[in-house]
Amino acid sequence: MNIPWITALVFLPAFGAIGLALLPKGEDYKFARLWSLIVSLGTLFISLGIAFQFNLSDPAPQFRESRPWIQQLGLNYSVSVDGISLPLVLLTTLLVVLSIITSWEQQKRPRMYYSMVLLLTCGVLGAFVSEDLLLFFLFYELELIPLYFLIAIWGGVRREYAGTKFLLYTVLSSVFLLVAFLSAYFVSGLNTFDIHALANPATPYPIAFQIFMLVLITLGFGIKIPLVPLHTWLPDAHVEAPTAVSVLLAGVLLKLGTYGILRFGVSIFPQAALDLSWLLAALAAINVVYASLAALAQTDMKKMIAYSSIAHMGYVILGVATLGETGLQGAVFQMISHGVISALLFMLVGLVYEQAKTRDLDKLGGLFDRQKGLPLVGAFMVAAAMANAGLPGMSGFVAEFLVFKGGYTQFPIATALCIFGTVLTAVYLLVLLQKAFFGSSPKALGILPKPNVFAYFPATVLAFCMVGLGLFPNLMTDISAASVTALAKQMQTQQTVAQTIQTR
Amino acid sequence: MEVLSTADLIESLNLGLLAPEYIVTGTLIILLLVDLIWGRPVANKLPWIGLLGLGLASLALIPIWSVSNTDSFLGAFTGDPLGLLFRGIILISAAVTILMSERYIYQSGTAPAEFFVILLTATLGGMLLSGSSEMVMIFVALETLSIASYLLSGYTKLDVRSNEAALKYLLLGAASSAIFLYGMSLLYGLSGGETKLTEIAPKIATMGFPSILALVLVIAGISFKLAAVPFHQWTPDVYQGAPTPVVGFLSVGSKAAGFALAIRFMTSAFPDFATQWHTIFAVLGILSMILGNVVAIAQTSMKRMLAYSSIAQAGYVMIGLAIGTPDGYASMIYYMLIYLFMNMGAFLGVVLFGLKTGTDEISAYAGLYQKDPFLTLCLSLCLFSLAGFPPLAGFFGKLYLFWAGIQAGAYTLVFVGLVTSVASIYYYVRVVKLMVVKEPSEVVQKYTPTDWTLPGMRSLQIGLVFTLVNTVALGLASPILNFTKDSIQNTPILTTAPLAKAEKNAP
Repeated sequence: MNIPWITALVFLPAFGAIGLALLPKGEDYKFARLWSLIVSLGTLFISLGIAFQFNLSDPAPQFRESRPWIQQLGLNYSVSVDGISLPLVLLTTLLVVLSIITSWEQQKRPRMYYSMVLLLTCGVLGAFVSEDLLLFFLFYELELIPLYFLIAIWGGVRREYAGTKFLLYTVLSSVFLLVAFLSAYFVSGLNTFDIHALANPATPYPIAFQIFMLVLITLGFGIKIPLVPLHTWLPDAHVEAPTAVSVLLAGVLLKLGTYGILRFGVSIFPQAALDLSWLLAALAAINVVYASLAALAQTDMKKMIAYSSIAHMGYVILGVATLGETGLQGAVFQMISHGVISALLFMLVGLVYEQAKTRDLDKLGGLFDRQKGLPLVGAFMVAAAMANAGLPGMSGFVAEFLVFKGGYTQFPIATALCIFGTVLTAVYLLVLLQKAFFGSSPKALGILPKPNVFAYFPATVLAFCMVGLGLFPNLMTDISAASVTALAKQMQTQQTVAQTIQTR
Repeated sequence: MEVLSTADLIESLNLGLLAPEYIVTGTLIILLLVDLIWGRPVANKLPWIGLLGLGLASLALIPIWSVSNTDSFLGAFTGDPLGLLFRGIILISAAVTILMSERYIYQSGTAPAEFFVILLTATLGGMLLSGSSEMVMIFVALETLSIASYLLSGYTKLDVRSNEAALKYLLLGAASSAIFLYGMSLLYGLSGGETKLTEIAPKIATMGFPSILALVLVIAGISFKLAAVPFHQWTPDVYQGAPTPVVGFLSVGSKAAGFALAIRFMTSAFPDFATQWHTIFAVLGILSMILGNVVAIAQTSMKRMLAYSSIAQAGYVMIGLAIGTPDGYASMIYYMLIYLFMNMGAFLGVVLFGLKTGTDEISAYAGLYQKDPFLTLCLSLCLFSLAGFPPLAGFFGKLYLFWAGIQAGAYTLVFVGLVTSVASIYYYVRVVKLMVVKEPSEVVQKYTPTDWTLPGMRSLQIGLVFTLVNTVALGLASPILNFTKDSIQNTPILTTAPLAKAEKNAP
């Protein structure tokens, strides 16, 4: 029997959310969390099932499903996974399970909370598997409302401000995207939003149009990633969001931006990408250096991690800008690695905040103290910090190494600045560790209660992923290799074509 | 002129095309008689009689769909698919208004029968306006709709603000009718005594300034009905003062009639001035989108906010008119149909809340989720749909409008539409945020939860569920879009040669 696995993957969380919302009101939070855990585990297993049946040597999209939806508009429901989207799907399903476990004690409006998490999952997964620009756009917008509520209801003190800011910024990003997508539809003359068809138009797009498109798409996704002048919503959103939501936001949602640039910008408009790659590299370098320096200036742990997260998205952009096999491989790897590491960092900060009731580095201290502090959190934090700074043996090293190796020949200055960024990463993380974890415990903090052993479970899983990907990078590169190679080859042909035109 | 026999005359009148209008007329006479004969005791049956009549009238629309000869009353009325769809939209909006006003009118202490009669009169006027293609007929239909609307907005006569609304509406409306009439009299003179729109067109084609003057005057008159900026001044005050169900009708039914008139008048009488009226409507659309959305942000009263929101929504619809392509017109109808449900849904929610609490301040909605989750869900979904979030119908409606806009190369219009819709999200979401995120306000704390179980369903709840289902499902169903597109293709006035020329001239 031909089971539509991808559809099941995307809509299981949606049905889970609706089912949970329709349940009688009397059910308490224990039921709601169990329900959503089961649903999210279901999606995790489906995604693992897809991964095991995935043909690693085939660069083409697999598990394709396609049927017309609104034909007048050229909208098709067509979904698939390939080597670039599959790792992100796996990351999403894993992080959703872990974030549900992270919010295990969440008791405020549990039904709505878990419904929103599951709806968010549906939106994100749908966006990653869409093969149709308009379908992607639909899912991209679908994810906004749940995330808005997650920040605005369960967030910190300034949650409503942060939520609204997030919402408006992201909707603004979708304005650029919609104009770009619709223009591509009409200019290509193909009357389809299918990305594979759009990537191979009968008559090549004029170069000016390509550049216009890529600029629009970069602007749109640049808000989501976020790229530096457009980033101001993210620190606010992260600081106010509850831990589990921060985990999803940093781990998965930002990836929509880089994935979008890779899939809908660079892949469809390769010539413009070649022309503008220097700009992407420059933006990446600015992102890394600016956000790292900003992280250095923070006293709120969570804000520091948020800036660190922005900085590390810069490496992804640098990898994309190389347009070469190594760099792209590095970019894809960095997306996953960043997803794991930043999720872990946010979880640890969440654990500290839950126990100490503050995230202010000036008020914290001596958390390594065996009696009064949180030594286990500290141990995890050291590991995560090492991974984030790119120490060998951790996933961050592999990713950044690939990116730098790919970027060095093409963009020596940008790459050098990004390497300098890793030094800055080490600096601010050491500052964080030194201020919060080392030294003596300030009196005001008192003796911190130890978290439940169970609370370490998600962090442990992520730490294993982090080290596992660092020691066995093939686990990840094998999945993405075929698709990335195909994409890089496509870029190369474009380049040779461009060169022959120039030499003539 | 040859003399026709009576039978031939009747045949040439093609009376069957107006069957829905006859049914509406019959219903309103029956309503009057029933009220006259049995009086108060049967007052609670009246809305159901009205609904029955509107339902029958909607059914009567269906056979007209396949009629090949669409001229009726010697060309004064056209029963083409374009008009049919707009008549359908007006009928449904009247039906929802009846559902909305049942409790409202009883609670306001005014006589119910006359209200429904006047509402049906307005419906009749709107329906006739959607089909009329001759200037005298247009004016009569327009005045039927307008005068009934003035009466409706002043219907709660014990309320000072309602009186104020009616007077303001009457004065401004009369002025705009005069302008419109002046424009039509110019056309009559310029064309050498023609009143049929299609016959005016060739006669004024070569006249420069005078016909443009007539065009501007006619557009000014129509824009008053559409509440397009800068002809929108009456809207906020009338919307705030008039009974809420009436506002619902004015913002949907009356606007739909206005758009039908605009499409028909422009394409039939001014095909040779397409560039000019495209530009005018583009400017009106841009102004409406900007002003409507920006001013709505500052409102504290829900009704006023919805008033400005409806100005902005009309601005989006004007994109379709300003580009003047078949897809543009189809997207207008598609959007009006969706707008009907989502806007009516929002008004139903406001009426239900208003009846229970007696206020329409936005801040009073705080924490409603904790008292009445289902009402909150309905209102939130309608507002999200108005804001254009997927997978709700409003998203698909806007998508089609913008799709058609980009297709015609109207990048500026689409860009303004998209950017202002970002601003609109702020005020729509603010209401949802209040209801869902905040703790209950004092008003809400005294709120008695609504009974949502089936036996407890009142007319308001039926209406709310009906609009909600459509708001959610209409966008996902692709046949509706097909249907509007087909109807445009089957409308002769929109598929004639001038249109092809218009396509090239799109801004």
